[in-house]
Amino acid sequence: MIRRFLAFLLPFLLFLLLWQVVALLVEGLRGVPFPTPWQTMIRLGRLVAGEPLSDVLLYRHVGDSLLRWLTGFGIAAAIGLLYGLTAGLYHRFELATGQIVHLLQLIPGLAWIPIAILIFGLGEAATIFMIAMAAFPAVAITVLAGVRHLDGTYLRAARMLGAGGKALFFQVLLPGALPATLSGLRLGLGNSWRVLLAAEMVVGSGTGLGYAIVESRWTLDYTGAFACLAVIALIGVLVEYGLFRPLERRTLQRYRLDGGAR
Amino acid sequence: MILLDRVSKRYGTGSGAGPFVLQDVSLSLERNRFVCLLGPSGCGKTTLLNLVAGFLAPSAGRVLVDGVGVSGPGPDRGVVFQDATLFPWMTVLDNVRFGLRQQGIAPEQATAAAEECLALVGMAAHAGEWPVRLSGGMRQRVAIARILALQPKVMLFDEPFSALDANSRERLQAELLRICAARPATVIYITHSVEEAAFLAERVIVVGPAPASIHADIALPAPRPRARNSQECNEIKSLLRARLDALPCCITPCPSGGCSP
Repeated sequence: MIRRFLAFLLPFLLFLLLWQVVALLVEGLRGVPFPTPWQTMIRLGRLVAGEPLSDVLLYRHVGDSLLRWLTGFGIAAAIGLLYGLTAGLYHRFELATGQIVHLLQLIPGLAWIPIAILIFGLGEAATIFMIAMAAFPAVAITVLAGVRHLDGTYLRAARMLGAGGKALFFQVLLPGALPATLSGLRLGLGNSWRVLLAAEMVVGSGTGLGYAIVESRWTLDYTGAFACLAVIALIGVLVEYGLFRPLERRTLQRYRLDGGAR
Repeated sequence: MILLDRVSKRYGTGSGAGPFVLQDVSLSLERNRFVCLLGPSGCGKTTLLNLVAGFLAPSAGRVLVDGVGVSGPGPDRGVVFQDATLFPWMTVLDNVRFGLRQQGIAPEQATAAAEECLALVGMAAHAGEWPVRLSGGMRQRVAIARILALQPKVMLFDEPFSALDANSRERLQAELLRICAARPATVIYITHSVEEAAFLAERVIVVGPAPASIHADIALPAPRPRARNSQECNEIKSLLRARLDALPCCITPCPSGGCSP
């Protein structure tokens, strides 16, 4: 038990050690103060306790970032899911539009900045647009691939059993596409989280973790920036281990039919 | 009765059309008989089955079931696939009930009928389980129960036991004959195994590559089940093997679209 716990902690400890070494090296060789893990933790504690960062509380930064993230991602997930299911069901629709989605996927998130600003101007809407554009292709393509795979198997069987229309969609297509949907959402969520921070750095949102990090450049508040990085990593870990891992495990336990005893 | 009237099939259309997978096939299959389609991989057996199932439409010719043209898949023609394709998000019982509920049968009646069919395939004790918990052989039993529940007049089997271990395969073959005796239906059973065809079939159609799609059509002697190692069964096997050996092996798979589903 203790050994397993230590094995779980080991990568984190190694990472902290590496960080510490880099901090000491940078400070010794370049003569600039580089926040150490300990300093970052102290600063994070003070921020959590209510010290303002770039004029507002840490909670405000985190809350605003999460809100933008979930709004943009929610829009992308809904459209992506709808697209994937429709294109999976109607081959002609896929033929007409499939290349567009793949093209969108090739555009790096930050490249949307001029387009976002031209359409929405500086501010919230531009940020949310960028987040949505970063998440949509991943969700759409993964769901579509999932439905494609269903086509030759479950959908065929369901049609043979007399299912049509509504039953086919709700009782076969939706539950059948669940594993693909989950991995699509996970990809999209990751993509959009990265773009969110970058967007906040550029589009001038006034709050948010990305904004706080880029602002710390002007105030030379590097420990503040590091504290924000720690929060970002923590949110990532929470979403991954608290939400997606358990969800995927539960679905796959039931769905993993291939590879089982045959 | 199933009637194929000068049926041809090639994948793709126009200039993108591939070679013929089936060419000019005419067949008539009598009601409630058990027919094996025997042939090497890639010769169009599955395509032929998919035409009867309604998953594919012929490029030329007609497919008739009881005099009515096949226009799509339907519950009157149950299919057991090589992979059981049970819905993993439903329990075994709900998988069998699914087809019945699609026919508009009331929940209680559907449950009763599904339980009866599960009992017929020896899976009554597993009604509440999830498909993922079952072995491959058990899944195929449920897949058979799922179409039995619909009381189809035609049952189509696409190498259903080929992925199972040898022992399970032989036992399920024997079970299948018992089930077909209890629930008569016109059966088309695809296999590439001489042993399987010799044990199961009343009639064996040896399928070869197009254009000679029907290579041989052999009626087998009546009493079934045949003892696997009887003189009679061995003679059937050598006869089928000789026919099969006359065909090329390792046929190139079909181009775009593919032969398999």
